Amino acid sequence: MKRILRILGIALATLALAGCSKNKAINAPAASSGSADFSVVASIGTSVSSGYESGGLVDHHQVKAFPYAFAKQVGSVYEIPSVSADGIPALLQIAGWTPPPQPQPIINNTGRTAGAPTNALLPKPYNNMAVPGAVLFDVIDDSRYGTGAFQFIARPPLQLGSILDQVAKLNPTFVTFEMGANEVLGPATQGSGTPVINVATYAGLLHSVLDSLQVLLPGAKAALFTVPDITSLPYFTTISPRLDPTGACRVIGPGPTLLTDNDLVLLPAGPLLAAGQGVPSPCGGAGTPLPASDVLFAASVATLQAAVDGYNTAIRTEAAARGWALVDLNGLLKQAAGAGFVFQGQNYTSSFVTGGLISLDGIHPTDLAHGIIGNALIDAVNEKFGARVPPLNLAAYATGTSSRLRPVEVVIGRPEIEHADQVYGALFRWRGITSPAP
Amino acid sequence: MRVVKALGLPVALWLALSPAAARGAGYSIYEQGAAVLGMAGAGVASVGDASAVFYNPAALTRLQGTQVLVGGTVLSPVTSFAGIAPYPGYGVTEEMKRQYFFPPTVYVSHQLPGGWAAGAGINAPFGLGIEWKDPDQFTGRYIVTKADLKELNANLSAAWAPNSKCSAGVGIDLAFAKVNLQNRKQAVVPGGGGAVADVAKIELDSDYKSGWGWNAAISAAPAPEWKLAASYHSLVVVKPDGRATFTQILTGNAVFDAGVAAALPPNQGVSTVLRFPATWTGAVAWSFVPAWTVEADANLFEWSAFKDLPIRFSQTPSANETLVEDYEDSWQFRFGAEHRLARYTYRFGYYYDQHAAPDASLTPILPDANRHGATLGLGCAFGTDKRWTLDLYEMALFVEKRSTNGVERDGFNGEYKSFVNAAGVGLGYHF
Repeated sequence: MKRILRILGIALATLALAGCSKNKAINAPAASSGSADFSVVASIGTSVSSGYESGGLVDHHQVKAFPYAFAKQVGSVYEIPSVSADGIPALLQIAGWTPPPQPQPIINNTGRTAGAPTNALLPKPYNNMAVPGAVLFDVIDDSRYGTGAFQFIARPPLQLGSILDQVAKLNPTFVTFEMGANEVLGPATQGSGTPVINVATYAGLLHSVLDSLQVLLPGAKAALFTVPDITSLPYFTTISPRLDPTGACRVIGPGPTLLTDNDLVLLPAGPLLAAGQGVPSPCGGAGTPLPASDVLFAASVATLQAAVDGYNTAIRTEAAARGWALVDLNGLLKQAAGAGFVFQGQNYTSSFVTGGLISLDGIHPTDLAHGIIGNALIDAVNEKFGARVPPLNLAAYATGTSSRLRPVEVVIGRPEIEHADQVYGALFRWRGITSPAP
Repeated sequence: MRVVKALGLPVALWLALSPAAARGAGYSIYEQGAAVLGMAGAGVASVGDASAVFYNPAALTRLQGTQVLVGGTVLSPVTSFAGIAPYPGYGVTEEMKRQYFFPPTVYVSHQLPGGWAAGAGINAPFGLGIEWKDPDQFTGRYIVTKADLKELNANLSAAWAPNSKCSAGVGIDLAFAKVNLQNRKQAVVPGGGGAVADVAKIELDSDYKSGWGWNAAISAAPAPEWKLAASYHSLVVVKPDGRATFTQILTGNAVFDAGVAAALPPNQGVSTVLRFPATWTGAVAWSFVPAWTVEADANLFEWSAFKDLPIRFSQTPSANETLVEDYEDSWQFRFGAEHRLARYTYRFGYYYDQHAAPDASLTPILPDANRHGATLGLGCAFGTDKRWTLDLYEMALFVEKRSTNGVERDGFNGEYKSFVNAAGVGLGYHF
């Protein structure tokens, strides 16, 4: 019996020692590409794809952009037009607060130094060819490449040609394609309801560009992104047309006319309202209207939303017809503006400054939002192509900031973005284009 | 604490000792008698000491004279966690602090004329104690940093045997329970890329409150070598209330800190509802030779009663929370053997314990998983007329690795691994 007990005791002790060991870290499973090929990834897109945040491009945000994140997740070499701190233009920060009782953030880039390109001599096209301010026509036409952010991609001494030309040179096996936002966002940020191109033109141009891509890159796969609705962006929704909760006092828009609840007051109007412009005299203001560029009337909103719907129908149609993945960027931003995304115990939304998903320019995603978009891209690719790309570690995307902390409970009503014309002017220099020929 | 004062110092000490890491599925603790545990808890049919008060009050009629049994178990759980994306991410590992718990037991049985018997006991059949290392950095600190659930149960039982082949017993339970939950409040850093900052420590600490339950059992011995039994413990509901404390963590930024201070709820009263599930047991024991007994038990825990943990604040109802649990009923299957020798008795056994928490409720508060317990036990009688008995057991409880499968309700996903070592003792005296 002693022998039995000894054997049982030894067995128990051995098992106990084995059971005491600590759980080992779980490594991300290796990515597999399914029917796609991720060996060379290229990105065509707008400021969203470029990693533009808080009014500028800077490397520490560029490497959080969803195309970069995706490429790294699939193990692909991915070159970007990196920009050193403090970015080009120098990034916005929260510089201070208006006095109590309802302090509002004062946002500017005063005191920051513009950065410089750090990878401009790369003797080949970048993998990320997204350009802040680009419209679909810019993919095939280089007439504006001497201006604004196009210079990052164009690099005239290298004679790389149009974005489409550069894609051909790079010969990617997988392309992320996110074009169309600036066709509506550009006019909207200037108070205009006229999209750069109408739906039929956009659909035709998109079809043509994607046909060209398929001819240049036979066998390559792609993921297409839908275009966001402007009303999901705090640039357009943060400042209420009401000057008091009851709506007895309302902002004076161009006309002059008192704004309705369905009209939008744009973010750059904050300092003007603080100075009394746009505020009726009986309500303590100067009684003068806001400039037309700071107001988007309901009719214009409806026109732009109809354009977005039309663009997105075309994008979905193209994705389905070509057997490509579709990422509903519009749906993600709508969720951010509504219920939000729960992550690490917090409910992240697109609320300006406090929500955590939209950067200080009121339009562009934060690092965490890029992580969420990146995971949506991964989900879409996995589903469409039978790939097994592991999700991104979102904790690595919930980054800090150089901006100051602020009270969490303060309602952001009229933030003051200083020098807004410069900040957004640099982004939307293409404004003069109204009807580019496909 | 009023209850504690009323019960006096001994019971207060007991209450201090009673927190325990959950040992069975959910937060049950089946370690209520050293001899039975030597057989991996497969002892409801064959129990032969005063722990019958807990396991099978119908068996009290088999105990001669008056018997007292004092004992307890030292529990030492270790739990670790490995994260996956999207949160807390691949490569992240976490670990609970190693703790030692000692849930004690006291049982008394007394044989009465006419086939009657009575028993009384104090034990802690449910409990939970977890504390994650480095609460300032633990990636699940927004869910929990420390949790304690203490339960103390007092039981009075009576049993009657109309003949030598069958008996029945019933009992009433008076349970005292309290709960302590601690976590961190975090806030999104405004204007940032999505980072969060810890802005407050939150502690919900209840006083002991009582609840009632009952239990019943029947035993049968159709032949001398066979014993059959079935027992039932009812659901016990306790509704403790206590104090919620919100302690701000200063960030060093006056504007931010002032905002946090204005947003934090005040310290105030808090209440909740604790549910200790009903349990059914069926057991059969066979003494195939006089010196040997083998037994098999099946326990059904009605964990489906644990739907949620409501947290209600007295001053700021907007801060109320309901932690959804949606546990499912679960089974335990226990197998044990006892060999009685002239000088001592040895026992061994194995049991399987099915998890009760669904994947969505696999949280750092209670990382429930299937368990496999292996036990060894030793017992002897000594002293004048061998009136004293001493039983010892050792148990290695292997908890299966379990993944949240990406669906944990608070978005804290990964894989838990646990192991529990337990050693127990029971000292009995037969008057």
